[in-house]
Amino acid sequence: MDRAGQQRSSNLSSSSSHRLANAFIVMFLLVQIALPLRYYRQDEARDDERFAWRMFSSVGRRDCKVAVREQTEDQDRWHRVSLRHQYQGTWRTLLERGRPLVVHKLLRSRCEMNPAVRVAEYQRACKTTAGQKLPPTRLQYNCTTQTYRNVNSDDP
Amino acid sequence: MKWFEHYFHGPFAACRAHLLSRVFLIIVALDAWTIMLGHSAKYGYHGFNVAHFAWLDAWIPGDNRALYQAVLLGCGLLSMLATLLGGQRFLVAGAFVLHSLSWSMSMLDSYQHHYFTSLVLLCMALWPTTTATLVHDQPSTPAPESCDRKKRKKSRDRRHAPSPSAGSRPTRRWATAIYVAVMLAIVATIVELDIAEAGPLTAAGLLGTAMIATWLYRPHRIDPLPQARGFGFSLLACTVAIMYAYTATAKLDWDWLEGHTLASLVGKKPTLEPVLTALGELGISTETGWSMFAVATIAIEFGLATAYLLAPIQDRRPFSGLRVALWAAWGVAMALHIGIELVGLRIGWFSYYMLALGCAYLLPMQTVDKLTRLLTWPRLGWRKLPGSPLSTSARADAMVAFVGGSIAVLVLGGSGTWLDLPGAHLFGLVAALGALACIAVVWQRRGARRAAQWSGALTLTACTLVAAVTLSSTRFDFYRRLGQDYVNQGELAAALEAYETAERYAPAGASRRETIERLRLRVRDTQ
Repeated sequence: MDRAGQQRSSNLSSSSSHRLANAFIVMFLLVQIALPLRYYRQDEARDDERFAWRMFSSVGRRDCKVAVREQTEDQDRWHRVSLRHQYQGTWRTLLERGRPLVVHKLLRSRCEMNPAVRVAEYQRACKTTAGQKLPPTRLQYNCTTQTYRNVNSDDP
Repeated sequence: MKWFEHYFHGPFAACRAHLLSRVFLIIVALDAWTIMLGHSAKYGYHGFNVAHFAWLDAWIPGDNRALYQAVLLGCGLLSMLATLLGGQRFLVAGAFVLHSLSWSMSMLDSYQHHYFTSLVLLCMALWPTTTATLVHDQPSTPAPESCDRKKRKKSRDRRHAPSPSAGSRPTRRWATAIYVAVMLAIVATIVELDIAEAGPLTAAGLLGTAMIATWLYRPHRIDPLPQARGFGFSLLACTVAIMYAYTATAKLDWDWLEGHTLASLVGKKPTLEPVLTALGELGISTETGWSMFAVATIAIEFGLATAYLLAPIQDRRPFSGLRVALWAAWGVAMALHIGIELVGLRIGWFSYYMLALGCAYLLPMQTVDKLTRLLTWPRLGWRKLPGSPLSTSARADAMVAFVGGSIAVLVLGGSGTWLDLPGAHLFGLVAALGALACIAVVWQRRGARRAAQWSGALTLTACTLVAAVTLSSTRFDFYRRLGQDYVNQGELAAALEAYETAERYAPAGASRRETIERLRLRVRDTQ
């Protein structure tokens, strides 16, 4: 059989085998479209820009300052954590970007590293690329109850 | 659903898949070995790590520096092997798995283009396997002698075939050799020059020379270009389109539209200053200029998304309107990604990945075919040489398989020591055992000839790996960053040791001698 003939016959036999491939294509494209949409459906601060194709976005370019502090059982005073000495620079950048998974795990790890810690707190204050100040964020992790709590900036 | 079948399962020029898969896989390998490896110092710092996925977080140890390096070395190895062995699916799939593991094991790697690279590799694993022989070594059909001259010319024009006046076969071979030499010289010049320093004019000159060389070159081909089928090709086009569309959507906020974000990205880099000055002379303020650039970026990205969606059908319906639109899209894509490199935004090799994609998808197939000749010509030329190792006896095949395999296993095993990186020992052990097992299995199942090809490819890959790591600045980057991190931790003795190791691999003009002296004094003071 010549080349063109072989191609025609392979076209006929391949249409049935395309079903599986078509299902894969549809699933793949749906995931590709839905994954970035997840970012836009967030109600809270849209800080986690992963998988949303937001390269060079205005959110990622915000100028933020962060601090982590903790309160131990024996002292009521808050003790500030030295992020520069204890965490690699990229983790500090991710904290500045407010990446939720990093913030949560870091707060949890403070309790695991020192059992005397009662509460660990994350604070962030940002300015947009236009220089406008955004409301500050405060998140506390209670080591005893293992719960997170958003704290109003008015609270002590 | 006929359009769906036609769009995803229709034919496309095989040279597109060949060019893109080879170039992309080589870039992935070099990216892993020379760029990503240099950033591995930040892994394992105080044992803190957060993986991209919660299920993976439980599996990845906090001290994961060696694991990360081993995964990167392995990813590069599989990518390079896939390039040399005809883009075999299981090798590309292996590269996809290791590349995905490399970025997903820690949020320290949050570059979105690494996620994008994984998607490209996944689509490539679904492509048809192409070889140099399939793409460029088809038997030619000479035009019948009895045809009259006018009829033959019409037929040649329709098939983009060379005219007889283009020269005899040996002359055309010389033309091919000159074309390949010119293009390789251009690539070498671009690699040697720092384009940002050499200036946009030099870059434009080199690009112009490459375009003229491609335009003038007439490959020896009478048959229509070979076509391939595989839904991965169209699926990748859709993936790129989705990425561009969302990237443009992400910029639809006032901070971007008013130009504040773009201005902060470019910062004080002088690349765009002449343009802003020229706009100023026309009465357009700097703020308005930034805003114009910002809005134009959004329009370009939406335009490129549309172009990529249309690109897979251009080989089936080569009507002139589409061809012109895709040429324009290619020009815009080149300008956008070369512009990003000139501005100096820190996005690794993303621009180069996108330039390769742009050339493979947006250019007409005849042009892509000419560019593909750069990859196929050396292999086909080598094969045609009398007494070439690719056309020898079974006994010689067995000898090549044995000797080549032994060298590959020794080089891969020895790389654990030679590379002087924490993850190299793990990689060297696994890679050497894996290479040995692969050659044995291939020899037993496919014979000595195939085993010889595997041995040759493994040897070349192993040597390229060692050369890429030892000749680039990746080890210097790794150890100097490690030293800086130790300084931040207050571990001065460890920092001194890391900097001293970095100094052994320091490229010209990048010595850390002063830092080492300062650290020595500080270490002495603390003792």
